[in-house]
Amino acid sequence: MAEKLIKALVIKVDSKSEPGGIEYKWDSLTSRMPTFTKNIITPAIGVDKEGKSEVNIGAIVSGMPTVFARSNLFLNALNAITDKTAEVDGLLGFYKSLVDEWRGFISCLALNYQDIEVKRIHLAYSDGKKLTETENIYEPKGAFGNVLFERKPLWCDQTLSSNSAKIPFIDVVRYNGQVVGGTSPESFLFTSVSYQLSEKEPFVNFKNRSFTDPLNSDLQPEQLNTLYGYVKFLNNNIERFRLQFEGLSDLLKPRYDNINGNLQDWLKEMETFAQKKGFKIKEQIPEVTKFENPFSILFNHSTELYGCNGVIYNDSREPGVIPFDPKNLLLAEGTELAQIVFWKGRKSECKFSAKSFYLYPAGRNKGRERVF
Amino acid sequence: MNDKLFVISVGGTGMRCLEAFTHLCAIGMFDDQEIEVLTLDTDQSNGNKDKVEKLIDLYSRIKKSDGKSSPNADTFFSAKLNLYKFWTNYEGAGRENYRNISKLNSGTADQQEENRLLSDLFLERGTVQDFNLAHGYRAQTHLGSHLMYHGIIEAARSLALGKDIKVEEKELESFLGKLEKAGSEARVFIFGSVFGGTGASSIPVLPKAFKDAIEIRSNGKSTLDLSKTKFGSTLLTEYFSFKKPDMKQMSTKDDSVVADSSFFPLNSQAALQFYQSDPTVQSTYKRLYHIGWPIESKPLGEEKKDEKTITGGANQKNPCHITEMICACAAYDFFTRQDGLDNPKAEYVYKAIEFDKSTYNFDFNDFVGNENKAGQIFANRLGAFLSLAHIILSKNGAATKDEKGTKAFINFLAAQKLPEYVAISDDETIEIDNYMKAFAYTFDSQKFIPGWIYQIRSSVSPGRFMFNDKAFSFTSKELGDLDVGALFLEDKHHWDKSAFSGRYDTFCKTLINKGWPKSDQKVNNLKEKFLAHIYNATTLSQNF
Repeated sequence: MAEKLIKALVIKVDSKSEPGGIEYKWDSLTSRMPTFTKNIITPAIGVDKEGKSEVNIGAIVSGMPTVFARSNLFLNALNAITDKTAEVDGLLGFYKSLVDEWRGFISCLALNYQDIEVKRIHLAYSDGKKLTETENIYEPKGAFGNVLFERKPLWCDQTLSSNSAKIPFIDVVRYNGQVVGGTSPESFLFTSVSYQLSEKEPFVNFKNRSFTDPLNSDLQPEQLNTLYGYVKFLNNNIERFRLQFEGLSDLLKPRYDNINGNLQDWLKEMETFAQKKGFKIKEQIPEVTKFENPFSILFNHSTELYGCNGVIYNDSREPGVIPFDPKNLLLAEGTELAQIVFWKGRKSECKFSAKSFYLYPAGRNKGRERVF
Repeated sequence: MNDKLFVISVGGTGMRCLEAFTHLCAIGMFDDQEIEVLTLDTDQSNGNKDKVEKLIDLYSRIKKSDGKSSPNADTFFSAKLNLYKFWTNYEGAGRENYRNISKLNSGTADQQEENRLLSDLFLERGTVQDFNLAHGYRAQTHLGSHLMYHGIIEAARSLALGKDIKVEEKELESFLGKLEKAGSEARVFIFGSVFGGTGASSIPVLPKAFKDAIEIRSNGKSTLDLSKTKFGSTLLTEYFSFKKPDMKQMSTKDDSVVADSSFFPLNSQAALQFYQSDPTVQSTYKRLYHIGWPIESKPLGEEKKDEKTITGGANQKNPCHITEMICACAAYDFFTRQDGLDNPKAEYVYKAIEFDKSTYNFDFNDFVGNENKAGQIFANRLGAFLSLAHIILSKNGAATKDEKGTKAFINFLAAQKLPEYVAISDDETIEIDNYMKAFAYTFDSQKFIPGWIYQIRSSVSPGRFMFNDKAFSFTSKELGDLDVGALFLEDKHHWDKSAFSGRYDTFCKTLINKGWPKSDQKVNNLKEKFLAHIYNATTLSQNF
């Protein structure tokens, strides 16, 4: 007698991920869910490597039952796409295009930060009332905050004291006046459901008018230097950003291993790109100062330093420090360097030999330049 | 098990699962239970919703006598079902779509700007923000989950105020009152799909919505402890497809978003990934039953040549499918299990079925398991009910219009010296006839109309479905010649016959001489006694 074959009554899934099952019983799928859901077989929808598709796949993938679906999709994408070169289709193809968009968004911050505006929106009703009393319970600001449910603490400012009213927020990012995305504690950034860019920049996909990884374009050496420096800077800040969530429950604590891996891969891809183009990367970190805490930890880079009693700090938390921008100490544009010899004898006998000078013009006298 | 049972069906697919659940109640699978049932939709006119609500009304009328009804044990129609209907109302000016209900053009300039920024960040302008909500959420579950949660909260606020309470809000209040009273002793099972619109939108938010609604309704004096109240749900993925919407239909603003079944797998995948990782789902549910259909499914609506894809409304009535019955059996597992419901995080479970030559073969044990003879009990009850359906519909002609099958059977028994049941009124017997038609089949003139169990069997075909093929005869002649005592695959469960007497006659003799209802069956009125008597006699005849 032939052996009885049983087959799981589940969604169509890749054979290697199909659970076996136990005859007549409900069997647990809990531990296998991540692999199982990743390997669900979906129809090919023809997303090319730049995320271009005959259909608007962003609109199709509407099955994630939270108004924060767009943000969640970026988290899923960053977790699912660990090998950018792997051939994928269906939802994974879409995720791949989202990762490409995510990199493009970061590139926009790095390369065109001056055209970026960030507006913080607190997810609470405008009238300041609670769900039970507010006039319009459907008002997006309050209503979206309500449906964060268990995730609410994650979307709040973690630096506030425990007895402060914690209100979740989103930093909405505009690029040249257009809403292009927002911040998320889980994926750092996500793009909006429908934005259309017309800027001719290496991080803009001219076909579908969305963000794209500029390594797909002709990136100039200076741009590569800046992007490389910023991505490295961002990656170095992840751990400090993560630490702020340590007080949350295990269900909520974000994990950034895959983001970290993605950024590291990206840096390697940039090195390969530079090698192919014959560039030598010289890291430059752009001055980005648009974000508020806590996203400032990740995205802001400033050369501002802090001084106290002649000692220079890079941390504002040192007591009594005064901020200053070292840029302001640089010589003015057009300054020329000149050598002035004060003493021709022994160096140790010259009291100025170890000092630096700045000379101010003091007019001309008898046809000669005088300076202080 | 002493927990109080609650069932919630959401959206079109949820309604069909509830239909299956109601039939499980009719065959007697939920002995001695009073179950609170809530139908929840955005679409009051939804065909599937209307169908199941009528079925439950019919079920309840069969149980009722002199306006009273109570649960019984070990008999047909043993559970008492209390039906409540709630729908989120999007009719009326200012409620037609997201843009209007959110009042995006209200408030100060700053408020308007912020609300628009947020909306544009998450919901597409021109489509998701603007489609007509009257026919549900159209697979836009990101919008739907937000609207369903706030729809329930809106009703709770109205109840707390106590003014201008709408009929559907009143029904929700009754349901919430029962849930609040049961508290940590409640087991709540939710039927819905993860690939469609309303059901898929609602499953993640319902436990929180009910908790918050109970708090609001009671002005903070009462709550629901979600760590103790046991919530379970189906995670049913796509098992049918329907006509693809055309560009002409989608060009109108109201229909700018129409569900396209070819993208159901994508939505299911996105949804399952959400369910696996969402902390709210994980902490509010105890057990989630994933059910899918990994083989080819028959497309719906091909014969009708519908001009448009049906987005909802009265035209949304789809044939029943075996996966819906498995969902009903998931509720059976959730309601009857003794362990596994005190876990802090949701457990995800699935089932495997015998598979041969690209088809599934269903055995009785596949539905309810084989522990404590559950599969045998199920086989006995379903077999007995199907036999009774054939007796009423074919042996006594109820499948043909204007014939009173149950009455004819009662009169036949009276002629055979069993006159006890002649006092059951014509109206009451017609209700039993009508239930059997819904369960099994009827004829419209000469056209055979399959009922629930026939449609379920058809969805499995050519695979095996518990009974032999003759049990699902569909021509007048075959049904007229049908041996109603020989429906099982195994001969040992066929009713006895002798050289002088066929199985049906032998059964009638058993009915006349044996099988009188016992006190532990808790039957109270004549109709219940009649049904219990037939149940007992069939049980004796089937040799389980």
